[in-house]
Amino acid sequence: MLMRVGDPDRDLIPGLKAGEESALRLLMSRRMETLHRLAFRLLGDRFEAEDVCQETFLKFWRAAPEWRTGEAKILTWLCRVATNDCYDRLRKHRPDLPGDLPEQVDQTQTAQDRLTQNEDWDRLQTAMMALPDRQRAALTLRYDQDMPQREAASILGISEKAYEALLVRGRKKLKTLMQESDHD
Amino acid sequence: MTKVDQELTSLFADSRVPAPSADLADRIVAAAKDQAPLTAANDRKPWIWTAAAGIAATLVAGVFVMTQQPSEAELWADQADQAGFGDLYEWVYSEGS
Repeated sequence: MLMRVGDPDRDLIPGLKAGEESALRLLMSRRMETLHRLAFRLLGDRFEAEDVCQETFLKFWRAAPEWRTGEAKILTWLCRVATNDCYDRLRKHRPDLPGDLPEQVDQTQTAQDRLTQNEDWDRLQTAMMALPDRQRAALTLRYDQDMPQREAASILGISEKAYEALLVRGRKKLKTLMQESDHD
Repeated sequence: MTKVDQELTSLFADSRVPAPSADLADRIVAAAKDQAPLTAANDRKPWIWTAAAGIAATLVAGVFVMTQQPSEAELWADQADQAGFGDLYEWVYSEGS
């Protein structure tokens, strides 16, 4: 027996399958902000986040004719594709580091130094950018997107237990970084 | 929801994130007009595998729900920290998953 997934965007599927521009526009009006926020949290760059949104919606547009209603939520699929795109871009930004190694935070860099790196970053985003990518993604899905644990784990392509471990570690590190910035 | 969850939810809600450009949707629509349909987005498996995966996922989810202790990961993380294996725990469960 297949598990049917209730999708709040299912009303758009007939139009998307038929290649109707109005359906794509409506989907974007509903989900663009969520995707852009997710990509910005992960990348820290508003314009690169827009590129991720564009690539993600275009991938869905091309794949929509074969979409199987009830097997996944469109938003979950979009978030997964966008997250993977962000991981790829972050990896390309670090050509000297093997992709599978956890990134190291530069301990000599103060919170104030990091704050001045990007005018779009507030105190939270500055601390978030100092976290490992996966922890940043886990915290974003949980606290920014209010995503259920099972769905968030699916988006990240990991087990729910691994997702919970990422959240535990991410919360601890974020708290430490925020406290550091309080003292600066 | 725990106190920490409430604090973080509030912190994220108050955090400023720039909005996407006003013309982004137009740019995507313009690019979409040149795009041809690809293969399925969520339909890459024969139905029998989808059915089997659905049953397996239901069973796994059921067992997980029955056996889950909400704070287990936190307890293990703390134990690892206390034992001096915090970095190893993080590497195994956070980054290597």
